[in-house]
Amino acid sequence: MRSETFDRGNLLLNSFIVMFVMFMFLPLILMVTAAFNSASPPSVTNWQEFTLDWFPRLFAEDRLIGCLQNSFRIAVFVVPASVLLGLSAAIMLTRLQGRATNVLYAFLISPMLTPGIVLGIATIVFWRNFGVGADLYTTIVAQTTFIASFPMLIIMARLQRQDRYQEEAALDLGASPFFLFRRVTLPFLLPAILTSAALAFLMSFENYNTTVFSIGGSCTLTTEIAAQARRAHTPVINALGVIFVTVTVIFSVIYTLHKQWKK
Amino acid sequence: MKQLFEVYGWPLASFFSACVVLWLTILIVLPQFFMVELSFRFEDRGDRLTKIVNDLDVLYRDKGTKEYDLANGPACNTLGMINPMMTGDSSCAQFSEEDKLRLEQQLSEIEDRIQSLLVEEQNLKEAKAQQFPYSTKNYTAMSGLHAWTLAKTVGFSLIVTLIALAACYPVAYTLALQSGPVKSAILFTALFVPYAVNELMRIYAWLTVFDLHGLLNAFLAFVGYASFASDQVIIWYRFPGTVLVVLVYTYILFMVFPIYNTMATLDKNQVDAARDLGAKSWRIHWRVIIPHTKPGIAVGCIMTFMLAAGSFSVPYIITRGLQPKWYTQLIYDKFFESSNWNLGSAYSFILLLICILFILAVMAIFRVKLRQLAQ
Repeated sequence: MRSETFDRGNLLLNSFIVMFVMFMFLPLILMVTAAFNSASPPSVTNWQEFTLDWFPRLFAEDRLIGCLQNSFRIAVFVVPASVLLGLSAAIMLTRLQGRATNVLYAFLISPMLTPGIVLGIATIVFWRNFGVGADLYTTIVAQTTFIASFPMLIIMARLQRQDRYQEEAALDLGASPFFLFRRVTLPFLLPAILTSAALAFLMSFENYNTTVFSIGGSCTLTTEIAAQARRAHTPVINALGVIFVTVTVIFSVIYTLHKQWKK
Repeated sequence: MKQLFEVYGWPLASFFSACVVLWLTILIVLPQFFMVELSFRFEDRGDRLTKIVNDLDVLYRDKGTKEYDLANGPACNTLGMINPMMTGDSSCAQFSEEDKLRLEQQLSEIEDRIQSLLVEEQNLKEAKAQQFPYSTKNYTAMSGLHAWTLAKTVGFSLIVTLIALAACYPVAYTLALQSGPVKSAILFTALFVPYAVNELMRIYAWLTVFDLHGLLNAFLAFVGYASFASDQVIIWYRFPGTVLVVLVYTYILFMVFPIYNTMATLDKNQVDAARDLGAKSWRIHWRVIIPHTKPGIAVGCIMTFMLAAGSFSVPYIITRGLQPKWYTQLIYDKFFESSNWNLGSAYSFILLLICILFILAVMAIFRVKLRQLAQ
């Protein structure tokens, strides 16, 4: 009797999961399919004929390519800056004690919990006082503000697993603090640093809400996608979507396999 | 602090400290402080000073035209002005002495007015500099419509959070406690892909559903409730529900992963023990799983609410201008359309306060501390 209800509950749960996953994938599948339809605006149901034309059209969009370059320009600065700030904060927080640490910690993770647009606004308001107008520079600063919190958490988690005696032993054996950091701490933190750099890159590259408020007259890939999605709405964006989805699927599968393999 | 300097030596330790101080001050605290400061300065767009500035603009322009006329004579026929060969054309008549006198008199009148306005402007500016610069007017000036928009945005975000929580708890439960390694890997990937696809692309994908020739209208046409031939189709973008659906879709997975992460650390033996001792399924959830998962649920709620309330992308792309503006769009307009940064800062600070209140409420309800949140 009991196992019967249990099975029915399990069935219900599993069908809910299937529906949930379908809900998550349905729009993506539609978007990808519409990229191969010659109809514009993109549609799945208004099928005209199969075409690959939207892809060459995508690469011919000079403005889009320019905006993509801006995205990389921003990330090139945001990634090292956030990793450096995150690393410094993680090291400080692990070595400090007392109430002040909690306050500092609260302040340093607060950008994660702040709406992105507020960060963008605060940044342009602040820099206007020094005559700096909104541009790529303000976006770099605004993004670094909250992206740095993620390296901080990742590196902190690893630091907490570090064997402190290793450091003490090195110091007792006469290693200089700098040598210790370079030869013991840094190699130990390297996986965490690489992970956080990759994460920081993704977050910078994909960010929209902070960027659109701090970029001024320039553009990044995301602001350009949003502008085109609202105004033009052509299958060219769907073609870009196909690329995004493909890359994501490949990396997700690799990531999951890697995770499973490590277990 | 002492420990920091002992282990890493003073050059490195001070370098790290400097970085943190830089981040804390220039990136986090000072920008917020300046934003709040600006929001308490009221920029009166209807006062005498603004009018003077506008009037001066008009007068300067008038003065320029008159001076040009006086120097170049009355306007020639337009053909003569376009064609450079005809600049010396005699068709451009000269002013009579009378006209000249009249123009000069007008010019001196304008000059006088400019001078008097400049003096008044100077006085007003000095008076304003003497005045206490802060007021709460930016906060009290919100119109009923904007207040309603804010209420709607917050209400929608709360609904999004609740829907996400209700839908994600079973998903996270299945992923963490109810599946073997293979099923778990497949489900994880199936959830991770939509999570990792660019946010804008996920929003954009919904246009294929809501569009004129989208999935919904095609379905309605298929069952006979709509017809493309006679233009009897529904413009879905007009319904606020579209924003709600896409908000749920876009931010729901920010609820799944925090819950999953904490739930995965639960020792499965605890669940088995509870079951062996005769606890019913809901009781196991209520007394064993949920208490353990509380920090994850709290983080999920906070992230989902914050992302939904602060989302500019979803209403911007989905409403396509066919719905009243969303609160974040109002803020955007204050900065980049009407360019009233003071008011925009106030609106933005209100949004921040609401998010802070929500965080505090969630922390109180689930009795979790800040440290537990970010693990």
